Amino acid sequence: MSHLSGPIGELIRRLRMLFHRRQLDLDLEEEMRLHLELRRQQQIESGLLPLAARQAAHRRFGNVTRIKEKSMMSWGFEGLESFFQDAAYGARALLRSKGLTIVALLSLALGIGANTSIFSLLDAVMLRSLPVKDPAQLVLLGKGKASGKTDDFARTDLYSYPFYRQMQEKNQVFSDTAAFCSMTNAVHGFVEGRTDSEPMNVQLVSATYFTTLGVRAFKGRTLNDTDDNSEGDHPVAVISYAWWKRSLARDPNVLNRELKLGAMTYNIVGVAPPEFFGTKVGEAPTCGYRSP
Amino acid sequence: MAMSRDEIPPGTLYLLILKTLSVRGKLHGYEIAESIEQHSEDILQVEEGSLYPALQRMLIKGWVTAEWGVTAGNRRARYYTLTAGGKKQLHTEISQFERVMGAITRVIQAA
Repeated sequence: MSHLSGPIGELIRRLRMLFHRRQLDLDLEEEMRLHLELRRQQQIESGLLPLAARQAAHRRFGNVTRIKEKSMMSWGFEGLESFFQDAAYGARALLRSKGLTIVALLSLALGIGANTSIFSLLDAVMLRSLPVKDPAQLVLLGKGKASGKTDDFARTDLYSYPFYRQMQEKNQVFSDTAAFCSMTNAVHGFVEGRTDSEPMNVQLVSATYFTTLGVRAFKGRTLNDTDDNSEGDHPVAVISYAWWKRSLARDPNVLNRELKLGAMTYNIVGVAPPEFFGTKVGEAPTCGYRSP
Repeated sequence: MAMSRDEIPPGTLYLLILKTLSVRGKLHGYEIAESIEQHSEDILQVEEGSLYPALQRMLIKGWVTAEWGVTAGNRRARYYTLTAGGKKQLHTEISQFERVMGAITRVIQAA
C-alpha cells in the first residue's frame, strides 16, 4: 500500500485498487473464512459440538455477505467508476459534434491565452520590481526615451553627457549616479572569430551604470571608474546573459574577446546576470558599452 | 458463559484496533478481535465481522498496511501493521476520546 498520507494518498490507493477489485473480493472472502474457522475451533475447544460451534461462529461474526459488501464499498469503486463512465460519455458526445467542440476549444484557448499575456505584461511592468538592488531608491531624471539635442534651456526630459558629468562631480544628493543613452541602437556587431555580423541592440552607458544599479557581473566584471576616466583607451562592453546564451552558446572564453560595433572595437569585460534586462521593461539590450 | 455485552460507541472501533496493533504489532483479523475481547474482559461486544470493513477503511486512509502471511497453524492469513500515519491517528483519537469522556463524566457527576 502506498504510504502517502492525506487525501492524495487515499485517492491513489483507491485508484490502484480499481485494478485489483477481483483480487480484493477473493482476499476478503479468504480472510473471513479463516476468521470463522478459527472461531469455530475455539468454540469446539470450549466444549460445543461441531454444529453448534459453527453456528456460534457465524452468529458472532455477523452476515458474511453484508460485511463483504460493506468492506468493498468503503473503497468507493462505484463513485470512481461512475466518474470515469461519465467522463467517457462526455468525450464521446464531444467527438460526435466536432464543429462545436473545436469552436469551444478555440474560444477557451484564446480566452486563456489573452488573459495570460495581459497578466504577464502587467506583472513585468507593474508588479515586479526592476531586478536591481533596492529599486525603490532609484530615481530617473529625464524620460529615458526622448532623443535629440539638448540645446534648449531647462529641458527636463533629456540631458547631455557634459551635464551628467557636472552633476556627477557636484552631486550631493544621490549616493550614486549613472547615465545611459536614451535610445538603444540596433547595430550589427562582429564578434571576434566570426565572419558574420549579428544584429544587436546596444546601449551606451556610463561606467557607473552597473554599480549605481547594484548589479553584479555574472562573469567577469561590470564597468568601473577607470572606464569612465580614461580618454581614448580601451572601450569596453558588458554583454547580457541572454545574448551570451543565445549567440555565444555560453562560451566560457567570452571574456576579453573583441566586439566590433561600427567603427570601434570593444573588449568584452563581463556578462550581466541572467535576470538583468536594463532599465526599461521589454528593452533588454544585448550589451551595454562604454566608449570615451 | 458470556454475560450480555455492551455495544461499543460508533467510531471507537478504529481506536480499539489502532491501540491493539500498536501494542501487539502484527496481527490478523481474528487475533485483533480476540485481543479486544480479552482486554475488555469480555465486556465489549465487537460484532466480529465489523472489524473487516473497519480494517479496509483504515487501509484506505493509510493508517495500516496489510500483507499475507502464515499462521502458527500453517494457514494463510492477512496480517495488519500500524503505519506512522496510524500512530498519529491513534494519538489524535485518544485525545479526542479523553476529551469527550471527560466532558460526559463532568456532566454526570454534577449534582
